[in-house]
Amino acid sequence: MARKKKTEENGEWEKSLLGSIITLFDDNAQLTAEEIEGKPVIVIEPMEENESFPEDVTVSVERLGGSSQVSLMAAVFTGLPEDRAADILRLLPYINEYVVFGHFDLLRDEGALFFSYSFIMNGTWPMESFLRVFTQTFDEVTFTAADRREMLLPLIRGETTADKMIEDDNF
Amino acid sequence: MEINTSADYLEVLRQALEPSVKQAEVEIGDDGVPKLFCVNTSPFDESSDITYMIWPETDENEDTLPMMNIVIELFGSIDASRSDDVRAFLNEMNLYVTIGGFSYIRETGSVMSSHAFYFDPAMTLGDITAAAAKSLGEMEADIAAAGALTAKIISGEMTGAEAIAAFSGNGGDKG
Repeated sequence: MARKKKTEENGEWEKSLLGSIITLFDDNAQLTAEEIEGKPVIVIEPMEENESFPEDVTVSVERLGGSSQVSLMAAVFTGLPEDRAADILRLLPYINEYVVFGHFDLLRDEGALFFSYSFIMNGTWPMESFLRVFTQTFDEVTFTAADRREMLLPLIRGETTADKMIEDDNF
Repeated sequence: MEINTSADYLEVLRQALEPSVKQAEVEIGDDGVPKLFCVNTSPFDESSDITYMIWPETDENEDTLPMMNIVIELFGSIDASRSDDVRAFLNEMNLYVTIGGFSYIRETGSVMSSHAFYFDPAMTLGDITAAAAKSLGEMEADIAAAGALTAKIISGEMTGAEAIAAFSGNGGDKG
């Protein structure tokens, strides 16, 4: 029974983290609480199209041993046609080459390019510290995702090619 | 111990990690920045060692939190003819990675695993070092999963596609 109680408490801690994250956002963002594969997540979208923000950012928290792993997944492009997805897959190692903070992933079946970042925290972190770290992390994730989205838009629009981008080395 | 500078953080990290690695020394990196260099047995090849570099980075802007960087070189000076296969495999591996990510650095022909995280100086040293140590543990698990197959690609024993198939056939599990 003690073990079960501990698990429930851990679940409460993660829910309280997600609840605290919600309080950080003002009216400029639309937040939706969802469950993906039984895991509670928050999906954050801009209220209107915003070039400095990805399509959306999904935030989740899960247990990792005695710690929690906080994950942010920013949708850079979704619904890419197959030929564009192939181009992005070719460019992916160049895009990731100097990205120390997280990495870009392509879900080819879905034609979706994501920027993924996770960090580990102890349950002993003060909530104030967690929120400071989360805020800065969120800003970094949205900046990186939006920056590379802007860089890749000419390719998506057919204005350049993967070969030309590799040749120009503008990563 | 009172923490004021990057050197203080490095010393605390060195003391925390020293018992679990072969060697932990604070040295000046090629870029002139003091870093903690740790040498330990490779997670995928017990006959070889692997080097970790860890260092905090502060911004002149006081509103910006410091960031802890962790960089691990798995392989260096790879023959350029193998790079496309290595890249293809790392693309696949990154789908399974949560903490950090793998990359191929063209300039040096290196395969790196890297991660960075912000921390609040108001947190305890125990919390900061625990976050670094646990992040390292996750990165090691990913390296253990990817390293041996990457080595086979580099040696020409496998193509990138064969390594991806071998990894997927193994269930894509870490470690």
